[in-house]
Amino acid sequence: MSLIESLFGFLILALSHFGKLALIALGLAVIFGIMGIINFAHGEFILVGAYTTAMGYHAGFPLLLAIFVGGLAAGIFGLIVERLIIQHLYDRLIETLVATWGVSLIVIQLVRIQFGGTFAGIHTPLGSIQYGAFSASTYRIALAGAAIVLFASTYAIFMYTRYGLHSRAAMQNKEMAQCLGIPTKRVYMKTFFFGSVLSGIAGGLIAPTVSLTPDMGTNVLVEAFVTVIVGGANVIVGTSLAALSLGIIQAPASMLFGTLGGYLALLITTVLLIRVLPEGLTGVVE
Amino acid sequence: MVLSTMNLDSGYGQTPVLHDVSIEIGDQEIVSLIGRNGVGKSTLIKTLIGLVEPSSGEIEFEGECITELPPDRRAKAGIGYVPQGREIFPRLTVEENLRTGTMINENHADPLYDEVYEYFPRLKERTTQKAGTMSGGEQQMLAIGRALVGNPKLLLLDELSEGVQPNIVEQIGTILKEINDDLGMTIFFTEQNIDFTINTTERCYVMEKGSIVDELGPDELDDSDVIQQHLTI
Amino acid sequence: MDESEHATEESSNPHHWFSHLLDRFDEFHARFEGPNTIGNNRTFWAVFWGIFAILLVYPMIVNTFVLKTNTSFFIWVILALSLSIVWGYSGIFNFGQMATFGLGGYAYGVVAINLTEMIGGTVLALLIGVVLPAVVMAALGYFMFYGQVSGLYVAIITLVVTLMFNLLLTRTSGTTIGDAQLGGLNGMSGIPTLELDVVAFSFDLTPVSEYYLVLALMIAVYLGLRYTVNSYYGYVMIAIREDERRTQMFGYDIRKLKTALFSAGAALGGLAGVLYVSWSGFIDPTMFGLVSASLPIIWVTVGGRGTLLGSGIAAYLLQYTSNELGAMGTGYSFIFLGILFILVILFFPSGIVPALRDRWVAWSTTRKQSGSVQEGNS
Repeated sequence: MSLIESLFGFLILALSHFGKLALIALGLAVIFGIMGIINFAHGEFILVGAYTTAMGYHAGFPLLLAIFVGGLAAGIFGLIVERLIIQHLYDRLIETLVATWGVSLIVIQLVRIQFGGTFAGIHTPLGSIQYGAFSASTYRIALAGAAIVLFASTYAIFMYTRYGLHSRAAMQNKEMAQCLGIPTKRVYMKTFFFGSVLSGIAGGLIAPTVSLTPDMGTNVLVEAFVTVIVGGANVIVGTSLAALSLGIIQAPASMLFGTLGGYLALLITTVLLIRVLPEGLTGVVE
Repeated sequence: MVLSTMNLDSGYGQTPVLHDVSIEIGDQEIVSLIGRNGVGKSTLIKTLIGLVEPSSGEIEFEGECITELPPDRRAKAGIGYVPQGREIFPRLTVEENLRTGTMINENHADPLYDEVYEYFPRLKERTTQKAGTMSGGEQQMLAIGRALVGNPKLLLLDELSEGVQPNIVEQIGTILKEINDDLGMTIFFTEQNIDFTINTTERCYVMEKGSIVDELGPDELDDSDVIQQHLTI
Repeated sequence: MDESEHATEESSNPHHWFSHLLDRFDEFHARFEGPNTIGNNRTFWAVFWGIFAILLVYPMIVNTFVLKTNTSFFIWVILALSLSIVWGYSGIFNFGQMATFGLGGYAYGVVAINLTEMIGGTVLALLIGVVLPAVVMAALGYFMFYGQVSGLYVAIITLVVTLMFNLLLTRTSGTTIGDAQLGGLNGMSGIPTLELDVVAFSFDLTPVSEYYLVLALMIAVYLGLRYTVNSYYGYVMIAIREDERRTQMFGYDIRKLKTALFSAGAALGGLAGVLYVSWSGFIDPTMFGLVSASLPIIWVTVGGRGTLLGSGIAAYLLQYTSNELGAMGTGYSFIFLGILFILVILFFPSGIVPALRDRWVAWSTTRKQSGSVQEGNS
């Protein structure tokens, strides 16, 4: 392989790693950033999105519509979880963590009972691109584009809607926001719904690139988790920067040492970054 | 009557702070509450907006009992709150901070941006600046502006002059009187600054150890010795 | 309140032998009592030793299989106690306590397999299984605490490090250390049981003697930790948890203390790991997986952070429950456990044991009050 070919290969791979990390982290980042709680069932929201998308696709829906339905399904699931559990645990990070872990156990087991060990997946669309000896799936690159679109839309929602303003105010000073007539509980409910929809859409988008199993959520949870933490408090800027830097690290490592090596590089980078930048990449930007 | 409390007891957890507080604030009045540090002035304001839950007694706003309502419902009913330490949203711009106040007084549709910028022209110069980067006095103006935008029927202000330059304090006092005159807004504030209190209010409650011990009318307020007596040990 | 009760009993009955015995009983336990633990009265200790007595005769009641399962629950209790100290009392949100357990287990396995012919080989393996995690976590603690990493970020780093061990160990399918094959995903098997060769006597652990050994260690760890948290060091731990900066201003070297606590907790976790591997003869990388790593966090949260008793009881009950559910093999066991976690968190946010304690205190005071009212009437 020539230098240019490997460089090209590296870029494509970094892009696709960025896309995946950014997609799976966004929903978690929104919920963590605004509400300050960690949703340990985050992976299962992605699972709900992915499974629903696959069902819709097999039922004959066009892929994009199926993904939309997947996002909606995860959103409804999120609303149920929020009303039943999360709303009683606001501001209690550890309790939320254990309770959502419980949700995760339940969903994984229900999915296993209902659908068994694997679920019929979706063929990766859009074929592949070739450059010399290197070829890559076009869809995986398209995912990076989808991630950018989702981040931009989320940014617009936070900056230009009343809900966005209220959620940013509640994030900075919840009591004061409430004293100004902002219904913070409703804001939190909407935030959890919004984060769930984003996770569901991410699940639908990555569904054609992964195998659909009951523990697919657990598999992506850690990657999503470290991306959010490395990003820091700023949902949009922090998380996208984190996905980009971790993707750039993960790509060559997985080229050289395989998937597990890439994953290990991701974990090591996370540990070092947290030590060097306790506030995450957000701290560097602001 | 805009606001009244009847035999209010309040405090934090097991620690009682306020005891048997009954006050009345009439329509379009400017009333103040003075007392030394730590007598419970801020606790009363926080109980009025709903951040502290009273253990007994009642709060009435515009003839409705609001004792059980959470802060956001009280704000929507028409109470504007300017807390001690200002508590502006530091990472929002000045303009965004003002927009967070529009939920106050749900019966009033149009936000008073023009009026706020008229009273505080400095804010208009800095609409896109992050609020956290402004000086203490400017933040105080922003905190007042933020509560004012929703056109509340009652404006509550807690320890206005704290951490603000004296000349700006004076300026803010004048503006409060203008707001009261122009908009007919009722104002209730706590203060330790004697001159500010004398110049700004018509009537004044005195608090000691969590209870109201005296009420000063315009005549007594002219005599700064009386107030001095209440504020010093 | 209890002390005054004791005092009146003493004065009314100064020479009675039974009251004398009770005084000795109280005196002995006083060193384990204080505001930092639950169960500071005679009733608690009476129940405690009562249960201990039942546990002593337990091997005579049940069959070997049940006994052996029970031994493993005691090992989990020791692990839970170690996290309770590090997280519950000292406030270090350690998501990697399971890693100390796994490291201890792997270290014991490797050394024990290699020294299987040597007299005292497994005892040496035990020591290494305790020391290795302590050293590794001292290094990690140094890395974190001297770099001002705190709060949630400690949880992330410790979790990530645990997962790194998991990844590394899954790639050891061809790796051998001496005679020990790490075995990658399949794990390391054929690990010898602990043999205690103490000076004059030597015996292989049978299920029964193993049970007694683990029971004794569990009780010793519990009492030792109760002693510690009610001593000067316990107050320092709680001071660190409640307000690091202020504790530092009082002249304590927080970074050093946290590193030491973190490492000491790791030694205890390593001990539990050694006992577990000696018990099972087998260990694999799932010990370092996300699911395993979250177990101790769940036990301590469900039982009640900041109470040793709660963490231990929750570990026992939850492991017992999931074991029973697993044995039923219905496939619904995780659903049941998930619902259980959620219900406990919703209804007992501070944990089961503190909630029960509060109810007990409320109940016994109202009983006392109504009792005194009746006395007054009569």
